[in-house]
Amino acid sequence: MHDGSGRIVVQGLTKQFGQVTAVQNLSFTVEPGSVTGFLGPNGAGKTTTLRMLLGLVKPTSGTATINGQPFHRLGNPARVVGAVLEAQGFHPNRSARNHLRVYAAAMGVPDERAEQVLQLVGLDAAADRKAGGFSMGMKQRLALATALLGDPQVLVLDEPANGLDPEGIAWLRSFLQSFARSGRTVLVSSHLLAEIEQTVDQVVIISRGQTMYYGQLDDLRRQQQTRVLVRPADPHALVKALQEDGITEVESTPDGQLAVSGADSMRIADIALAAGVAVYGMQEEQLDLEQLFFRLTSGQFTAAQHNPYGQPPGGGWGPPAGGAPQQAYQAPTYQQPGYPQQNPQHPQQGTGWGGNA
Amino acid sequence: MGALIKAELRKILSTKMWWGLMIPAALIALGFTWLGAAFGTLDALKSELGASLPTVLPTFAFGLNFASIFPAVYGATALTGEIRHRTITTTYLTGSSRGAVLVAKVVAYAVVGVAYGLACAVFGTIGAAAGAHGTDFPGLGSWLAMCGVGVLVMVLWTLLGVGLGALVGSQIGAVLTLLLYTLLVERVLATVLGHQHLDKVPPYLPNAAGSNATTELSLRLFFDEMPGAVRSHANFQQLKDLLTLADTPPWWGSALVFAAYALVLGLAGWVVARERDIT
Repeated sequence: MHDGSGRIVVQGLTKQFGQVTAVQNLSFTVEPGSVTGFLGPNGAGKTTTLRMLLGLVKPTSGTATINGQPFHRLGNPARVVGAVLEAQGFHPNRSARNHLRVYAAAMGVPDERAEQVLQLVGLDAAADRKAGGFSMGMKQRLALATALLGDPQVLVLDEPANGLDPEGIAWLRSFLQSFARSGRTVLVSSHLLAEIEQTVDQVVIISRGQTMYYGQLDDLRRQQQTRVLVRPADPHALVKALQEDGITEVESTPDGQLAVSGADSMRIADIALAAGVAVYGMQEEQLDLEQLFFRLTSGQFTAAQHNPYGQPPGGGWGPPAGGAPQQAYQAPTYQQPGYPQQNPQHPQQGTGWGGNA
Repeated sequence: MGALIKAELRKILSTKMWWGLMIPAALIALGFTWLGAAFGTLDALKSELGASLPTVLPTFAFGLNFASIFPAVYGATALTGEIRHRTITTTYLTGSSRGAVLVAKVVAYAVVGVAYGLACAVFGTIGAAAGAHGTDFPGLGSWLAMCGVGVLVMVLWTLLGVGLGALVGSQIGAVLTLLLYTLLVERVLATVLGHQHLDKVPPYLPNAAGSNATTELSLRLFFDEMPGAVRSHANFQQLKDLLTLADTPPWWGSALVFAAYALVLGLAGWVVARERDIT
């Protein structure tokens, strides 16, 4: 039987669907008492990984265990792990209450438990309506209610915020945090970091089926940095002048600008002036968590392209953590126009200078 | 195991399809026994033979055979319906193993098969009574034997459907396979085999075996209940030839052959469903 630890261990997990490698040698551990975010762009292999963890998809190689056991050895699995994998798993003509009573019977919990979870997710008024007529948000709530029926120790959620209104997302966030605080385990996937940034303690970021980052979210935050985009008349002269001043982290961007890290715009302007290099424009750019996330996962779409940002330095010399990313979250991401999803290189914050320096 | 069976029964009872498909099955049984009873008790026939003919027995068998496609189709949706509506994910997440889920389905759908059999028995009895205007009902023993074999083949057809569904996986695929095979493929196959002088084979094909379990028994009972004047071994053989049942094993032999088909499909379905990725 399982060890009751609440720990999820994924080791060397690989899945191939024919020629397509959906998940490649994935390893991570999820500890109880915390909310772990499982992040990656759509198609990165998140769902396949979660389904392998839950015994729905057979891994090509590797193992995934909950409480030290593979899913099929958990005995009465729904009492150990509850899962929200999709908001579509309902017979359209079965009422929400009957849906829950079916699975309450399967996991051997009393029928009153169905009423409890209906109230918990706020669906008691719609309990006798057919699930086929539910909105996306209501289906998500019913899926969560189903996952909670067995009062599980581990909760696995695949994109649970899809279709939820901002109020629902806020409710889900506090629910997951209190669930984890009671010493239980939460693993929640999303393709948007901002969506779960305030909820999760640690993150597993994957792209193209591989782990890109695995650790505390705070450690990732410390990797935030600013850089300055400069458009000089003579790039070579400016690079030389910067290097003489000890600023070596300089890269050229595809549009012919220089990306300078480790100095603010005022210092760069002074150096340019001293070196006699005309500067046509300068822009300070701050990377927030979301952009870090894009950098970690951009390989999925631009694998062969040169990444002008290079690797982030390990040090924590950037601006204080929690500035920009929290701003980004306060307004629900899907309502914020022009959110820089498609173009991570686009400067989110910046000051422009015109003319010569 | 009891918990999973209870869950399966709740699934069945919380949607309408189980009784939606039961209505045509019961009406077919009723229609066939009505016609059979009405024909057997025609005044002209009675005056000719001096007694009524128990034709209601074979027509009850024909009715059961036609009606059995409905529980078979319902059985075919047992697993495929869950795949179609994506409830299979939660079902597998709440069962101790896929094998346990499938066994629970087999038990629950066997219960449904019994219900289909009983519905056909009740409506068949109503039809038989109504067709003969309440007179000349066949012997109680014969009638109960027909009802019993009706329940048996209904259960077997339901489970054959469950196994086929588990094997095929797609609901539309399983239902189409079932309909096309029983209504078309096997008939063509039997004809082809007949031309190859393999006449002994067709009675052992699935649909024939399932049908003959009821038909062969009904002919025996029909013969037993015939008026003494026309009852002879030669007549019985003639009757069997007429219905192309000459090479047919006794009813229980056909039932065993059919049960073997259901078992093989069920095992194949179990092997495939156990390995199937639910993506």
